[in-house]
Amino acid sequence: MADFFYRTEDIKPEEVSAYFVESAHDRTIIDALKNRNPTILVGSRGVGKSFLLRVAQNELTKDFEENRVFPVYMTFVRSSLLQSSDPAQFKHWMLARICSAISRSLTKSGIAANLPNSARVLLGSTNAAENPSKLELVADAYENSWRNPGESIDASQVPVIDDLKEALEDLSESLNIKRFVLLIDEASHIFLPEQQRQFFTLFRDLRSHCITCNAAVYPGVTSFGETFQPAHDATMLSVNRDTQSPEYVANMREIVEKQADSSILRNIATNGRNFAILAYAASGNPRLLLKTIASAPKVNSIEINEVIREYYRADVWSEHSLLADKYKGHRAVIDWGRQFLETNVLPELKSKNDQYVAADKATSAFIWVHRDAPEVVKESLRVLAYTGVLSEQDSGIKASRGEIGTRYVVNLGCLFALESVPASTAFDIARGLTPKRMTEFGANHSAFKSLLEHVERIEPQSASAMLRAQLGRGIDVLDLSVWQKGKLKHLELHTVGDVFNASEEKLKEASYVGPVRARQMRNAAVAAVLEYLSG
Amino acid sequence: MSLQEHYKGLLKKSGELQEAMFSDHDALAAFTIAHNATDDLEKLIAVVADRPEAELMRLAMRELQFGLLAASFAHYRHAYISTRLFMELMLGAIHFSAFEIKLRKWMRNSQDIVWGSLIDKENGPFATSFIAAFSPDFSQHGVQFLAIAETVYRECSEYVHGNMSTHHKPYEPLDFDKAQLIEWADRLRSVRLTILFAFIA
Repeated sequence: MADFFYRTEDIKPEEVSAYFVESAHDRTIIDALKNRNPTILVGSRGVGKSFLLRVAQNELTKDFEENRVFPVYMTFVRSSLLQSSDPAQFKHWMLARICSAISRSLTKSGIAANLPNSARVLLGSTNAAENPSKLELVADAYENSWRNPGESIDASQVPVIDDLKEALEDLSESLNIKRFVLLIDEASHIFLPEQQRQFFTLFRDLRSHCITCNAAVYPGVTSFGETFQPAHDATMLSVNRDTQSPEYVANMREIVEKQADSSILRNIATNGRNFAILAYAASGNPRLLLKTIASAPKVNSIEINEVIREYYRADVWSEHSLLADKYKGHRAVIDWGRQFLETNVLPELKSKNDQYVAADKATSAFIWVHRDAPEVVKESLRVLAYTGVLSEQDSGIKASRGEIGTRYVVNLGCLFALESVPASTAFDIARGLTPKRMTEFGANHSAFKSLLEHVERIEPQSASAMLRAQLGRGIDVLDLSVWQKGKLKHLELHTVGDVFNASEEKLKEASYVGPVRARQMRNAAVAAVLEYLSG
Repeated sequence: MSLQEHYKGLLKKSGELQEAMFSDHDALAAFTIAHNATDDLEKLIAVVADRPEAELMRLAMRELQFGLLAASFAHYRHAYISTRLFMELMLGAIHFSAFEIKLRKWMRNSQDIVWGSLIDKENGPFATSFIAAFSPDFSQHGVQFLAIAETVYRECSEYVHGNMSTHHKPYEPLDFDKAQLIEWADRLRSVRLTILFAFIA
């Protein structure tokens, strides 16, 4: 199977641009990330949020000498690991992470061989030579607190926001930096609303003439806290690709061209329609396309039919259902969403499309949900958007009775998976789509009843119980290759926690794993664990 | 052992390796497809036999024959070297078909075939404007076939440059390697496709 990079974290930051295929919307996003107004990127897993943050970082770095705008990339993916006794642990951890990311970036860039005194706030001490800095150690301590839940961590060196802002203003003067641009990835956990509130409060507060904050979040992150107002305090941009755009298939093909070998590219050229089906099925998500093309390298009809059936009927849903296992308190909402789509939405759309295609009419992949639908239903749809099975298109859409609601588009691959021979019919469905045809679900639609009847008051599980349960899962839940999992099992690393704890030295014990491969494996394993833990 | 005996021994060994390839069903199938590509390309050259660039194309075909011969003897690196040269000469001929003066200079040894010119997005044989001048219906596809050409050229170049990953079992005696044979034949298929496109477009 082709060895593609599926995650931005697996690509060296300075090499990201080599894999970049720019669309007009991508350019809009990157320019927004670079300019002085805060931007929040919203998108489901695998659409390319991290990638765009890195491209913006690289461009700002390249132009720094001229523009003096300094980018700092950081990820909050480890936020789910915090288990200390500190009631303000998330806020302290965020501030410690931001400080250490800025100081590390400044040091690495060579702008300042030794950070000036004003940087001591970022370091947590006056000793600039300490590596790692005190604040980095504090952040690490919070991230390791899952090993000893309830442990006490000394956060006395963590600055308050005003001190941090002042320090950055002083630094900007002494280092001739016009503006710091913070690029915060995986900014907030989808199932931890309290973290979301604290994050957006910090996001709002950390703003000055020399600081711009940008963040990438998943759909479903909706708890903004009391001071942050999405309409006023940031530009909210959705990371998506319009499957109906004339350039869509070519754009997705170029993404594959950056990584595929000549054999796959040749097969794409000689099976253009089949490739287009895979591209449409991915619904604008590069990770989905790369994974499915890796499973269908011959791009012939047999492979297309098989991969559409296997991936979009089984694999995509198993990822969604994994959430229910991880977050038992949200099980009813998660499971109902799957059932709603599989039982109500997709069959309805298929039935309509069968008639439309036969009559040579436009087809549909859209649903409309009344704005007064129960909140718990909307929550369920947000979780579906998180996995990428559904995507919110537009709110404020008038439906057939003049009622207002939100239009969503289903993942086209899930729609194609219902076809008996996707390779024969999917292309016409994809090319004939119109948003004007949408299946409507009113505020009190009968399909919502089962959720309303069964959902109990959602009691969030304690974070530590959730984490313990997840760390105890077998390694098969991790998004690693078969070879990698085999090696880990051979080393008696059977659970998610085992893998997370394993050192590079441990990995080198496996045969045919030298230092470079051990590092790669550990990075891949840790990234997979963090992705799994972050939901 | 005399010099003649040494080299005759190598020739005999090459024959044995060729026989091993012929005896493997999958390898023979892949090699046959590769060999048959010469027929297609000879037919194309026959169409333009009166044109000045036909001579360059015949030189390219000779390199393809060397590549096939090398592959049959399990000299895989040399098969890739010849394949890459074949690709450069054929695409060079197609490019020169629009620039006769460059062809004439090449034939007088005062012009090189430069790979960078062949993959130039504005002026090379895969460029949209270049194709549009001859076959407007194909012009939008140039970028796709350019990507295939660049990728397969890079894959061949790894062998030309002796990249570490191309040294298979370097300390063992030369032997027929089915996987390598099939991979090389697959690369040749990609080369053939890009040449066919460039020729027709």
